[in-house]
Amino acid sequence: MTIEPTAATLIAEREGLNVKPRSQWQLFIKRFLRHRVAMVSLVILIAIVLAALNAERLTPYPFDGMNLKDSNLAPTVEGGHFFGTDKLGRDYFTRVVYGTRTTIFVAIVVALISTLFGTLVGAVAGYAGGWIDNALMRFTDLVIILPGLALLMIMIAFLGEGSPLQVALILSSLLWTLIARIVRAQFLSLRRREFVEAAILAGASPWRVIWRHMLPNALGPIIVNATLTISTAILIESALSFIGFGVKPPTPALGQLISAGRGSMSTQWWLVTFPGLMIITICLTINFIGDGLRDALDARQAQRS
Amino acid sequence: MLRLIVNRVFFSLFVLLAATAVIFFGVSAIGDPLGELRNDSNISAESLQRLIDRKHLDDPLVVQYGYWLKDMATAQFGTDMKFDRPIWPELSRALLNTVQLVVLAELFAIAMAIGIGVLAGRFQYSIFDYGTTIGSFIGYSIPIFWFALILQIVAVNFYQVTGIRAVYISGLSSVDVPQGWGFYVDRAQHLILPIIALSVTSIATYSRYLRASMLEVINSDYVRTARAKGLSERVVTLRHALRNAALPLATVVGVNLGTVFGGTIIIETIFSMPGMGLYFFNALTTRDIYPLMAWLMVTATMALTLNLITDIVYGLLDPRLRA
Repeated sequence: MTIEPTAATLIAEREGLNVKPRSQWQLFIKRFLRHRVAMVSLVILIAIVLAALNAERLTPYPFDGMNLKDSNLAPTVEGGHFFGTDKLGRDYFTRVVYGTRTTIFVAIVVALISTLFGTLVGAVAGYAGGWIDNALMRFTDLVIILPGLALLMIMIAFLGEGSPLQVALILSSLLWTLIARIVRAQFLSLRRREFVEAAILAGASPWRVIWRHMLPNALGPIIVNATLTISTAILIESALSFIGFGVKPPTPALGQLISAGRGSMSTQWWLVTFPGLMIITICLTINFIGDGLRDALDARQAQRS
Repeated sequence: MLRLIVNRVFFSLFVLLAATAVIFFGVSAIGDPLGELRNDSNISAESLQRLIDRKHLDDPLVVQYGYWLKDMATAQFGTDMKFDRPIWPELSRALLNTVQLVVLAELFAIAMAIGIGVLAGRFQYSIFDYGTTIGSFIGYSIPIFWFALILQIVAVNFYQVTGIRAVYISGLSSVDVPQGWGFYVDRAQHLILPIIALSVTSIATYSRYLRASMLEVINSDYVRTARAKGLSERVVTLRHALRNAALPLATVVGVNLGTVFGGTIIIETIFSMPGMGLYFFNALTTRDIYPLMAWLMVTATMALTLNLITDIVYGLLDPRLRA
């Protein structure tokens, strides 16, 4: 996607200056890199994800390693239990890191699947228009009206053995609606643009028009939304795991750790506090990154460079 | 306008009818009504057969759907599976309690959001603006169940340290409910923590929204005119700017209510409040599909009605849509 030579670049070229026209994407990335809060968030998030992926190397304890001698220890640095231990003497830092891994895995799978499906629905509805659009959007409305959290709980209660992948699939089955609406709106306005009409008149097949001409132009909002979906999915999965309708033990997930620590929370405060702070940190960084992406996309705020 | 309303009402009725089918066939597809009871050794084959006869479970699914619709229309959702208790009395009581919680939480959220949004929009880039912006990001990122637990920890520790019982952390009323004004004080002490926990996300969402629309409105011509007429800043902000900025909030509140309602499942479970959320949680834990489907129908009806009301209210508030 190259931009057409502007007056400024033409003048520059005539004067013998070597001006490299920047593509929309380069401009977008440049603007994003300048967004300070988003960049700091990105660094923190990458650190958390790397820690979660390397859990085995990061802590000397296995996530289910019991040691009843050391049960209910408060957090200490010198004792090697940064987040304390639970009532079975399991190192809580280890539990939280493994829980983070599960939670992030679920959230990323949800974001991928719901974005793909939502984009497909929105693209078809926006491109085709007419009764196809109507039918797809009324279906989307219906899914939006249904009480989401309750439906997820029902599906997990009746279908679930509580594996992370299954929880992710069930969450995706409801979370695609927002992205479908966004993509549809984008496609409706793109559909009337000259380059799309030209491609259609040139005989391109619908799928080619959608894939080559329309989708690249709708990619920005899709990416922003996929990012924000990760944070939504983390909050929902944690809530579900907390009330016992999400990822089930022995696989640790952050919400489930909070639920287990709830019984003794007024004395062993660390059992509830640390997994919660981890959820907040992850969601906060993701929301800031999403905000940075949105600002970077918004060309109105960009300086002409 | 009238035609719009009539159209909308008919469309909502159609969606509601579709929802009955989705709910019935959806729940029937994934949940065997007798699932748990079949494995229960306390239930004899005869009583199992009686249950099957009572709920017409030997008939084809479509016929069962008909019976279910009939029960819903004529017998207020009929009875539950295991004990044959009528569903509606308990469900309606739960509904009232939840409406009380949700309405209070949303009123609180809207009031907070108007304060925050107006000031943040009015004093853009001030410390207050930055502070509330970060606050709203935290509001989006905080798991409400965790926030509720932290509130409980704080309340318990406050009680242990000072000996003053300022708030309660479970239930809706004390066992020995006082009469008169004492009742309301007692109720408020029970409701305050759930209300705070439930409204965090709403406050964040609404105040961000109001701030943005305040910024848009403040730079518009009629606000400049109002200021040029020499009206005080207070009147300009509250009468001219806020009124127009708050208008689109009606839609946002309408859309957000579904999420708030979902939040009551978690909040009522944590605070042991006998509302819709706890009702649903219990129905799901006992795997009884009849209370479940009744709950889903009531919820869907409420969501649709609210949607309808927001649309109509929006039409009434915005003269441009009235034509």
